[in-house]
Amino acid sequence: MKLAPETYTIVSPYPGIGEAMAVSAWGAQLRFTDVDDPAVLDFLDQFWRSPSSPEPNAPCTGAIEGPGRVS
Amino acid sequence: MSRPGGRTVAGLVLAAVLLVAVAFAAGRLSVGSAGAPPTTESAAAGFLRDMQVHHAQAVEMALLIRERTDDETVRTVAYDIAVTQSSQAGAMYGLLDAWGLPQRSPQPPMTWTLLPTIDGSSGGGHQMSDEAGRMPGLVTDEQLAALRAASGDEAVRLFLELMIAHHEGGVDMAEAALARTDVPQVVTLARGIETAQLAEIDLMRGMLARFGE
Repeated sequence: MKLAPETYTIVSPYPGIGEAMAVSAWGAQLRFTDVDDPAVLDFLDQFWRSPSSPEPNAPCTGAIEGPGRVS
Repeated sequence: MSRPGGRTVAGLVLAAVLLVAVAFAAGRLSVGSAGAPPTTESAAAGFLRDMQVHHAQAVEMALLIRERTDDETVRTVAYDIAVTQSSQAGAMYGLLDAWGLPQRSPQPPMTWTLLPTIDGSSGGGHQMSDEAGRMPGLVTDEQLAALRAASGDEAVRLFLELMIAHHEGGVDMAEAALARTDVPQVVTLARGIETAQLAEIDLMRGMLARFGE
């Protein structure tokens, strides 16, 4: 997904989500159907590596790899 | 036992962590703090200094266990502790630097816990350190040597026991800071440490049960 920053993100399919997509952060989630929805970028600005999470620099790299990850 | 290339991996991880820490500190500092910066003998400054020492030891222990076990879950948790606590320590360093305060503490560890709490419930008199003046949860030189000498499941059990106590001490320190400062950046950091380390204590207790206490 081109919207996703290169690091500190995981993009993967989610069973049962249907046509919708979702971005999730610590204590926050946005569902959307159009990847050009500006609300998605607003969400990233507000929550990506934000101090509103307990460990804003906990990486998504270096862990055990799960199935289906896109990027 | 060291795995081939283990030290190289640790070196790369550490380099990445330092970059992240610098980036994190820069991001935080651009926000700035409301009002006058804390003084060098404030609870905020004392906490930021002591917690850097506390975090540095957690990072050391995490890198040690990564060289001593092939268990992927343990290695992943250790990786997380190493990178997140290095990052937080970088943010603490950056805040002191931005406020023009020295990194060196003018007082023995945990002296700031003698300061009164914001709500006035504790006027001090009880310093949160042991007879040797150590911060809560800090591992002794002997315990660290034992971890260095251990291998396999024995090393994992020792790591988990030491890190659970280390985290419990870290949570106590974060809560002591929250009771004594309202500096926004310090409150955010301390709350994050409290939340994350409480969750990791639960996680590590479960892992310890799996490795047989």
